[in-house]
Amino acid sequence: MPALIDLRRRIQSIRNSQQVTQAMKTVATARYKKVHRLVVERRPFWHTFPELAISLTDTFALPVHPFLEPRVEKKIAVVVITSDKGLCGAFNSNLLNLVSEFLQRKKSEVEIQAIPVGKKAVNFFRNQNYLVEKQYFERVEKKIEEISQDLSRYLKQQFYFHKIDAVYVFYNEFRSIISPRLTMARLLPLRSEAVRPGNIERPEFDWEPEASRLIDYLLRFYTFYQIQHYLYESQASEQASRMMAMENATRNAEELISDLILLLNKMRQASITKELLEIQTAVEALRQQGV
Amino acid sequence: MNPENAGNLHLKVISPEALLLEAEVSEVQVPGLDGYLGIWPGHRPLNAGLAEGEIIYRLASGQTGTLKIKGGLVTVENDKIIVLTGMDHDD
Repeated sequence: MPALIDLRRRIQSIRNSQQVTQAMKTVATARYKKVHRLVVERRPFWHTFPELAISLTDTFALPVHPFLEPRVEKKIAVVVITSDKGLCGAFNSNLLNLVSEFLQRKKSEVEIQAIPVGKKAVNFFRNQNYLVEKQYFERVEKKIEEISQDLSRYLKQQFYFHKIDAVYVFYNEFRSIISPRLTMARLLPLRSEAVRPGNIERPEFDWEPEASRLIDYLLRFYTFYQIQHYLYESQASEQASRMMAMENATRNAEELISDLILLLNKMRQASITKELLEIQTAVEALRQQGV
Repeated sequence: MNPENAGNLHLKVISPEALLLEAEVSEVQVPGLDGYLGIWPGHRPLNAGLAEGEIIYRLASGQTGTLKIKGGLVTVENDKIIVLTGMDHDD
């Protein structure tokens, strides 16, 4: 049996950890609320914009823009969005497992360029033989606009000049507090196969100005806002995951503490009983000696 | 289509930051690149670029309203109007 002093020390140390997890939960909750509100506000745009871009361009049999051009995939870019910090449950590991599987499947067929976002993803690719030309980490949450702009520009350029034929993005999409949805999205090209005219029954549109200019205008913003979308969704799920993980940790600590306190009390009681018995025995002995 | 017994239009104005407006309207005017475009129920499918200006709309209840935008794009199909505006990340 452990000594009482050891038990007390242990309880104190668990209490300290609990205070830390409690504080981290509070911070995560505040961050979560902030980014969640933002995600909800921006979703109408994020959802409407690509849908519109794709549906409008469906009216053309031929690709009217390079982004719409289906290509044979020889070289692909894989963007992986994780968090910088841990302590958020299985948030990163689930996603990285999915990425691993995907890379295993693809690596014999295509040339892969990796673009990790967040420290966990950077570390994941550190010991692997993939080309990493760009990476983003440290305070990603403060630099979303900057990263979106830079990455969007880079990917567009690579795609235009046929350095890559497709861009895949892996990220956690925010679904609910309980669990994020692991998501793989293809950013470019927008369509995987050529649209066959006649398959689509859509009315003739009037275009003002002409279609190619308008689609050009629309798609100019496409990559930027999509990347921004992925980054914010990932942020929201990260904070939610951390909030849940810390909540669980705090609760576990509470349970542990109450178990230990029970044990402590039992032991203390046992030692008191033992001492009482000893005193009583001594008193009895003295009385029999007739003192 | 006879405007007297026409239905309503569903108007949505969306910017990257927020859904700016969603309403049932009976008519809308949007600032097209070559001047204002009026849209009534039964309008032909249309995609158009928008200039800086005001969207002027009449709600189904008869009230009118305006909304300033800084250019963008409008698409009209099946009496659904979607305006995308406020996109400024040209790279």
